[in-house]
Amino acid sequence: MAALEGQIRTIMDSGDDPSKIRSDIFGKSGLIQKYLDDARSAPLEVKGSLFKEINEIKLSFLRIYESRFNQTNKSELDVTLPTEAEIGLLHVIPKVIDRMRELMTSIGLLEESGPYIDDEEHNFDALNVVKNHPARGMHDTFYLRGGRLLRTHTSNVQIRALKSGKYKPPFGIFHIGRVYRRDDDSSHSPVFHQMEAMVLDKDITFANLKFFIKKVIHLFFEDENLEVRFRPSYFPFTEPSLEVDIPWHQNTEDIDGKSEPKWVEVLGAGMIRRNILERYGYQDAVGFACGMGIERLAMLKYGIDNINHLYKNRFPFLRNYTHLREAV
Amino acid sequence: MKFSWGWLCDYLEPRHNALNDLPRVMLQAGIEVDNIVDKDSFNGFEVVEIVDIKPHPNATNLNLCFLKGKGMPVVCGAKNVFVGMKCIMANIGAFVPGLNQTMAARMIRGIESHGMLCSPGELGLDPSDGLLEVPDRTKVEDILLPNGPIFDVSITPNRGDLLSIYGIAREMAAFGLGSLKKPNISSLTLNFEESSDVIKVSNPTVLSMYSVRLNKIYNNTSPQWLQIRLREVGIKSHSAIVDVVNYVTHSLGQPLHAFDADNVGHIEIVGHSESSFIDLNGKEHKIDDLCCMVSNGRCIAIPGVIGGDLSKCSSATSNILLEGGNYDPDYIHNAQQIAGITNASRRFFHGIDANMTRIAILEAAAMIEKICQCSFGRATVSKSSSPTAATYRMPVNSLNPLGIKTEFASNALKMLGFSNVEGDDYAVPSWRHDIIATEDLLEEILRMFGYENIEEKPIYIRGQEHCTSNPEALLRQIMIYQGLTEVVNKDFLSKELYTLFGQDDDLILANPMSQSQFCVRSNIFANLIQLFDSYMRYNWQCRGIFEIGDVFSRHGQDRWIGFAFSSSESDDWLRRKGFSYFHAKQIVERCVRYIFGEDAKPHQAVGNNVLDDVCKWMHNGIEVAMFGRLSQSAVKSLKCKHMPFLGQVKLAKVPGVKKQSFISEQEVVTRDISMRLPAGLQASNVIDKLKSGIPSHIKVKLFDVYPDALLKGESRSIAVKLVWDELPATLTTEQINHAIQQAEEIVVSIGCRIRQS
Repeated sequence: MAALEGQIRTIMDSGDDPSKIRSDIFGKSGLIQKYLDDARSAPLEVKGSLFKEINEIKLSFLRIYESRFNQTNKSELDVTLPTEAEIGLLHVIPKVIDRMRELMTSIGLLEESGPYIDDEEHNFDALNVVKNHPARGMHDTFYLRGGRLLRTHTSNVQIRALKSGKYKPPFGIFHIGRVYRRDDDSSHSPVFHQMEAMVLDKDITFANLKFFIKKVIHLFFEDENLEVRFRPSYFPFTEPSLEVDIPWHQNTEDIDGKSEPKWVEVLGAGMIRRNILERYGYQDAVGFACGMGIERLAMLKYGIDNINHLYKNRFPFLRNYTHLREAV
Repeated sequence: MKFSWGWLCDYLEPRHNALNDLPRVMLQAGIEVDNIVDKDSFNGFEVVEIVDIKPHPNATNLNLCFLKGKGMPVVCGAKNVFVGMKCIMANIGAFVPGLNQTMAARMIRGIESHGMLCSPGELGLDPSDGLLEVPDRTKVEDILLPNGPIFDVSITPNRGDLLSIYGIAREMAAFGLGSLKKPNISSLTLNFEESSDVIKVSNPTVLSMYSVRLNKIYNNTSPQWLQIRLREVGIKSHSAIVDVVNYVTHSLGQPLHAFDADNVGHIEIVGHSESSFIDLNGKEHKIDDLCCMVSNGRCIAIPGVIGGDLSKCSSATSNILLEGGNYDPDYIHNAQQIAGITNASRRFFHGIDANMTRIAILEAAAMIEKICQCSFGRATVSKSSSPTAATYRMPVNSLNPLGIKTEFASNALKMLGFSNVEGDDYAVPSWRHDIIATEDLLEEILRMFGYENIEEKPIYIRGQEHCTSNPEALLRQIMIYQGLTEVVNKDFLSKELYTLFGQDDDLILANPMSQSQFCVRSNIFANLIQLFDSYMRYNWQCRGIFEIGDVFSRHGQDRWIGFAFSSSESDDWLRRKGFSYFHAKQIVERCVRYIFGEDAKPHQAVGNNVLDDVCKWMHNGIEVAMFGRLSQSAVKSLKCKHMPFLGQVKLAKVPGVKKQSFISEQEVVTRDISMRLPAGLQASNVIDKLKSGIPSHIKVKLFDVYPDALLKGESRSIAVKLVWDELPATLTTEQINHAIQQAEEIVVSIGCRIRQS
């Protein structure tokens, strides 16, 4: 066997063309095949070990051959040629909506739908915003020629859900959709999105409402320590009513505590007024409702300073604020 | 609502550190602080003395003012400068409120100015010409804030009682910031006689009406302190009488009005009068069917809203009739629609304190006497009202779970002016029109307790067990991996787009804000056309855009996904033939497949004025998708530069996973059939015919088209593949050949010629 090894080494070092070397050693009429043929006529008791030995030599020299001559074995294909890997961008608003939907579902609320074009009854009257009520002046409403209006908040869904009678307490529902107000500046868009949540049970209190809001805000901003400020406010359909602010640091210097943060309102909420619950047959239930602006949340989360950027859809802007691989 | 600390202290005896705590306590009470102007707001300002003035070498209207102790001059264009004048300078870096900008060193006509000498307007005061001259030895804040810090706060619509300085003082006293000082009217004793001689009320919308006549008035400008107080809260000074009326209105929340008594006779408040009225600002209003004050046959005021030009006070006025009343808010609401919202109407609309009217009119009369040296005439009350206070029960059961003791609650209500009638029943104070139910008492108690102090309690929403999936989120992922970018548009259409897409007048906006808001959208891709045109003009490297949103019809709303694709040549080396009609259609078709499976069938549709080469998909007789190319005429009417491909697909619930009856392990068998098509025959017709003619488990797939997709030409060929998958057992050659033969007979029967390979 040493002779075989020696002969192989001689051929390997001959400097011949690698393909010739390959066939001379490993080919059909090559050196190894010759030794295998010879081994066939060997006595039975050594035959097996002989084959084994030759095969081991073959494998070890194949490895040597591959490592020495593999350069010449390379494919002609330019495998580095880039194929098109262009992936589009997701818009910030639907991303925030998706996240909110996931969050609400995860804490046990059911998604409810509702019309964007609605009537005065569901958008105002049923929410205690009767004609001439001071709160009707709070948001200026778009009316359609046919007499209907574009809803000014998602609270119409509250009314429609209660009216439908399909939910029996305890239950929690949420709705995300567009709302419309005649307002247009750097922090207001005539079209924007709101999320409405409503939870009914027989013994819910203001303390539960506070817990719920804090939980939602902490989950959304992924910050268990985010400060949340509650202050009294007014909505005709809730009492007590409140608004919720979170601190907003305009630049990193602020975070070091060098200057006071600005408080930014993120949602309005309250305990649903009794007359509304009783009107739809929920005499024994108490509940709370809250509504938050999706754009405001998006702007806070992504650090966007003008709501109009979100609706201009300029590609360079979208590219800047949509990171494909971010966890949404 | 604006107020200065000094003015507030007319009615509030502040406790120690009250000013510091004021913003926090207002927040606790539910009064949102929008802005505070205090001495920090004037950092960078200082009082300076002009020691020398030289003309600007390059400008005739500018001077260089040299200041005491300052090396560099300041360029100034004011006419009233003189050597020795003391005025206020804004240094570099100071924020100038009147200009809404921060001072920077500036070159003015070739000379650098190191700061700015300020006019009252630039300091955020009353705009007037020239620099603000200030007395000797004054501090900036003494000049700009003589009454201490100025607060600008938002009052929620339910709290009309906070639209006065007195109201805010009352609330702050209840919240423990000091003690309330009641308006001091003991100096004046006037007896109001019940009489309709002066003002007759003939309309039920008037709830009360008081008047006082004041004679021999000298109506000059009002004293400096009064002008400053008004200016600080944004009210312009006119004359002593008008200023006093405005001052008392702002102070006590009771709107008053002063008529020039020489220009009015007996006054009657009637249901309606003449159809036109000119207000004291000279603006004309049509007032049909509106309650008004009439004298000598002419309308002299829209009561509760605005006085008229005929009877307004001027510097020549020497006798006045001071009037104060109260009105039904519904009437005020209607009147505001016609005459607009005024300081008076806003307060009546939100509800005033009926017990304040008499006090306010006395306060105003006393002030006018003091400032204008007048004598008093008749004081009358032609209508008075003293509404009975509603009572509500304290929600005792709701307090315990929140950790609030009953003693605290009853004390809180008393602090806020509620009076304990009997047991747990409390009477609402005359100024609180917002308390209409038991739960309103709870809010009052919670406000006093502090929302922050209520301990949160976990809630577990024991809703129905459910599991939802969101097909839209997946769809959006699919779209971005085709290279499309998501956009979100406002769902309004302009008039041009309405003309192209809208059909329904019911969807036109009655009160749009701009031209882009003509109607709500009835189509999802309409908004994408002009947007994507700008993408192509900017050459942003984006293959196409999509949006998921709702579109409207008179019957309701549906959710669609809309697309716009680039029709320009692809620069992708894998698609050398360019990004064609069919590449774009493929994306729309994938979307159709995802939502509707194989059930949605494509149809060639007649082009319309928006799209050419339109393909539609029908599902159960309803159009669920459309694709085409923006037509030449639409390109023209929308002033576009490009002709994108457009598509839309209706979103529907994606069916859940279907349980398969068996799982085939057999090899999949395929056979190809190639054929020539007669002119005019659509490939989809051939495929549909094949599918319906051969056993339904055999799938038919188009895999080649030659030479192109046009319907013209005799030598059009297509090739289809018959696919046998999900086979229960191995196929025999006979079975395969039989199916092929069947298929060939079908295509021949509709005029195709089989091409033998």
